Amino acid sequence: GVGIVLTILFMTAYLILQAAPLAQQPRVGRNSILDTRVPPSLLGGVEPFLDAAWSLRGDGKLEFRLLADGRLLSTQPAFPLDAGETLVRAKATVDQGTLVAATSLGRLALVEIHPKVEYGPADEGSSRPARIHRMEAGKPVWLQMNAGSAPPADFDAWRDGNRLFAAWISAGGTLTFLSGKEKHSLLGGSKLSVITRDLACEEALDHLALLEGGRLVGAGVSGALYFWGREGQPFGPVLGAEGSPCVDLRSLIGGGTAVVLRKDGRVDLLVLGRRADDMERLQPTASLAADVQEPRALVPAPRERTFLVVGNGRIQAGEATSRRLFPPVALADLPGRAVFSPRQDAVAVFGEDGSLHLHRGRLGFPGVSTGTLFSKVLYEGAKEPELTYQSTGGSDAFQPKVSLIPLIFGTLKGAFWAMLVAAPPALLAALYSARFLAGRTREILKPMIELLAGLPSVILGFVGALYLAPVLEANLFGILLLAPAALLATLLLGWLRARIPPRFQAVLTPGRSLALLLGAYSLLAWGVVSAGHSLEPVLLGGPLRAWVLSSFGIPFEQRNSIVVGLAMGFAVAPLVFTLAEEAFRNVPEPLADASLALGATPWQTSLRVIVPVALPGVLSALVLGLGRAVGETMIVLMAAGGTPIIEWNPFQGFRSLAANLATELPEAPMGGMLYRVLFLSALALFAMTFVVNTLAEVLRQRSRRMG
Amino acid sequence: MGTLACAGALAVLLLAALALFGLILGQGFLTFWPRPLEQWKLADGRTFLVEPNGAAANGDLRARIGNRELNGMNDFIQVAPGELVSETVPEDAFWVERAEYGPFHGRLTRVELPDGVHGGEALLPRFLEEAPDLRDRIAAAGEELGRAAGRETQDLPEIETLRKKISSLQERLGGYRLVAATADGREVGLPGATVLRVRFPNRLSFLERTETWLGGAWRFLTEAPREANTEGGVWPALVGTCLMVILMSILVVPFGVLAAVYLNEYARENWFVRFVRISVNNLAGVPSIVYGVFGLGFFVYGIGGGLDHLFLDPGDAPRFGRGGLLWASLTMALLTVPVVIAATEEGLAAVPRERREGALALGATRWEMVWKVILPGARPGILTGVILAVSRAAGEVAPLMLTGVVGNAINPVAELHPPFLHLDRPFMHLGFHIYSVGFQAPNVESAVPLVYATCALLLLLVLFLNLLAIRMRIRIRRSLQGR
Repeated sequence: GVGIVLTILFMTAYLILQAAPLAQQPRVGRNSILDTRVPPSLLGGVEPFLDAAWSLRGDGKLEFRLLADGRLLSTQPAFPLDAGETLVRAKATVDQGTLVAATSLGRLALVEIHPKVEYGPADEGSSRPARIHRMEAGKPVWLQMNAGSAPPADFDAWRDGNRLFAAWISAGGTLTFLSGKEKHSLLGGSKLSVITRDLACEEALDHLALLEGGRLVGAGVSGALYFWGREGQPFGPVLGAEGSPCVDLRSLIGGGTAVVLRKDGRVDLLVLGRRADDMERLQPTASLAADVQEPRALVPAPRERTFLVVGNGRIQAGEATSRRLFPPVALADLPGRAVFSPRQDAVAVFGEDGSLHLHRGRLGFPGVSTGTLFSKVLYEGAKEPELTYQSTGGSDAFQPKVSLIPLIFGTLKGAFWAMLVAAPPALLAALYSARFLAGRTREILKPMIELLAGLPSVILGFVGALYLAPVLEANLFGILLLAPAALLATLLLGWLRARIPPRFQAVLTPGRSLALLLGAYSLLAWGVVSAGHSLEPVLLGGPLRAWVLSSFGIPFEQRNSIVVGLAMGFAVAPLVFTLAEEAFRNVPEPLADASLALGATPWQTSLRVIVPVALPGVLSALVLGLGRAVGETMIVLMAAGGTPIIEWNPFQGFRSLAANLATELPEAPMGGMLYRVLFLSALALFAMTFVVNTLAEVLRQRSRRMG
Repeated sequence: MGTLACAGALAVLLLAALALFGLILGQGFLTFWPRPLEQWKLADGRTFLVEPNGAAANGDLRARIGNRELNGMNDFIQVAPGELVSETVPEDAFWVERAEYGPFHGRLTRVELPDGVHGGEALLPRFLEEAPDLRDRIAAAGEELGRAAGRETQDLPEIETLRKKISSLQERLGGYRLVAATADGREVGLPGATVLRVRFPNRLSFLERTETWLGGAWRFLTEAPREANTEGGVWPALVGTCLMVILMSILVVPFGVLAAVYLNEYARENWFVRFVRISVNNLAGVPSIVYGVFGLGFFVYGIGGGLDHLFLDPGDAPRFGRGGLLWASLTMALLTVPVVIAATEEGLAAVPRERREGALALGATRWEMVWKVILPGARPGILTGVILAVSRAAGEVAPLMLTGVVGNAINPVAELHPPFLHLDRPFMHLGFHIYSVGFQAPNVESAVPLVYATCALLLLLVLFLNLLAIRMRIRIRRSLQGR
């Protein structure tokens, strides 16, 4: 007994525990600081294992040294410079894979860097193989800026397959845009053809960032922001000059979001998207107030849409999808150049005095908030804020969309159709079986229906998806006609039976009329479905699904909600039947007898006495049926098509919480964001059924007390 | 009128149930029935030997044409009724089950045996006797070679002899060949290594068909799947299902029975017991996938990952930290605890009060009373619980998908040599087999009949278990009412 309670408590606790890290704030461990000295440099970073750091010197050489003891591992000429030429400024791309540097002779160069690790024999006193680090740098790509002029005010470069984009702002504030195409020859060489042109702007610019596909955002000296689309197409200002001047402007991973840091500490977020007329646009989504003094720089994270606002003695993390800033953390070694580690598990600060401090920390899952889980979000590339579930995409830069609303909607949609199909016949049948059938017939029929309850749902799913779905598609009209036809036929049969001479009435025992009805309904089903085929062209001028599409614009999918409703109806109906039957039978006999004695017909007795008394039990049966439909996995997984859309149309599919778990959890990396979100959705499912079950239990207790 | 509506509703339910059972069992049993081959001549001049396969949604005729490798990897054709010029049932239509590319439909031209013995149909019995025998010998020698090569001290001459033996056997098998023509006259050689079974389906008598059917059904139950599960049998899935439910029963019975005994015999009605009862009811209503999520997180990644962390080097492939038989059984045990508790409680309630009092009056302690009197008396109830739990576990797929089931297990969970049972390995399961073949197989259409057969098997299994449980429960109820 204690074990059971412990089990259920433990299960709940475990689900909560697994989902809980979603709510954690990014943290920087203040205790685990590694302090090393490195010579002053233009740019620096650490490699993924946090064993070594690289730094780019003004003479174009890339140094790579161990963090533990500062030992130099290698020095290589990543940027081979001409005599007398030095690097004046350098930047790393968001993914930290490419270094971009401007030289004193007006040239711009791009170099790819790859920190490599190999495993050697284990160190003494350790069972783990030692890591041997090596730095590889690619061949530089040289671009000519305005030769001989002063260093640029800002510059950026973006590489996308064989396309290369670069842009820079001259010391005077004019913007130049370069678009290049790389052609690889068979011999292994490649040729870069570039077009360079100046882009006009109302005012002088001082910051810029390249976005996805070579789009460009620039900040004017007044603080206004300007947007250029593909190939430098001008779109004018996107944010007016009311903001204070810009301190830093960066694009985040994937290049779909730009972040602006202003002098007064405000952080503006802008998202690339499309207007209603499909033109591109850069949409401001949020303006947040950072809590740091003298904001200096933005540090984008290499894997997620997260960034750090670096100020005097403080940093503050923010996230673009969930549009929020986290509480600031004090770091005494600032000001300095802060940079994320590649796995986002540490922040390295290159101090102005040549110190290098490594602060280990944990970013957590900043992209998941109640906002992104439950309300509309303007995603990159979208026209308007939407509720979308799309957890994984093709590339690392994919923006995960984890709104649970489409899944919850799908769950309820499936349950609704299943209940619609299952509840009416199950309740009526339960009433009939409990109140009208003779004991013998009942003893045979009831186990039959109970057997149906034990039917594996994977069979129902298979039959639903591979038999019912095509049959429904071919005979949609006829099958939809079945329900009204059955009602009409029942009315007709009732009318006929009333006309049967009284002496034959006795022949029709409930068991026999049931057998007769079975035959009648089979004939009816066959007749209506074939009649549907001949009626369809006459009434609608073609198949119903084509008619619905052309008249109402409602598309028809083969695996849709009706198929799920029918298949899941098979799973729910026996459960509702069994429980409701019990409730009807539990109504005390004297009540019914009294009613009959007062002259009420059996039907009047049922309707006015039995049903009201049994109502709590019947409701409990319905609620339990609903719980079953909400939690059903295999039928939905197989027959519902699996697209997480919010669509009321019954001829389209959906994806439920349960089916989503079955699809995505086996592929979700343990401990990752998706894993946690899926545990959260399992918890939501658990909570939903828990509420439903408790409700049913309360209702049942009440019905027992009445009984 | 209303009464009639109620009766109608019951009739609808029954009709639906009957239709469903009829569909699955009918289609499932038809899978192995040898159907005649018809020769279809189409308006565009193409000729096929086909197994008719009903009609498509738009009224087109569908048929299975076989010879996948010759027909652009298609198994089916679909023709408008007007396109069909003639259909005949040729006496000499020849059907071959092959190890690859699905069945062959055509006409037998020639049977080739080694040493240049060529001939007609008369040689077929010899071919069918000798070629499979050679295949078996090659397989046996291959296994022996594998064992010899896997030993720590390798006996090189022995390996060499085995290699030679295999290649000579293979060379001899290469001499066996069936030459057949397709319906449109193309000649095809079917090597003895790939021919599994042949028949002339249009010549079979009813008795022979029944015999073929029985053979097909038997092979379905006892053979391993081939061709990415779309052909062959379900033996490993059957074994996996049985092992899982047995393991689950071993885990769930003590726990469930003890909890029921506590609830029924020891506990007094207080808030705690009420809470436990509500918990049990709630546990019964938790969706099965949630158990799967818990099983994956706690058993597989938690306990399994922990074991791996303790015993394996980092960087090794996980052994316990992946889905496996043990974790799936544990998850299923958790899932079926409420079933066992409910059934056991019913069984305990059926034990007459006098017997308890009698035992206590004779000086038995409470524990002795429970152990020696009550539990034996409640045995039917416990058994019912176990049967219901087994039937639930046999049909449940969703939690298994997360905790250790795979569509095609490379390494078997059970072997005939030590250590016999691999609790850490992923296993195959009948229910998941239905899902994976019906939805993830490379050519679902041609696999559908086999899935129906699997469905029928699973359905019969679950129905049998449920009927058994229902009968036992009725007996228990009778004995309750008898008092």
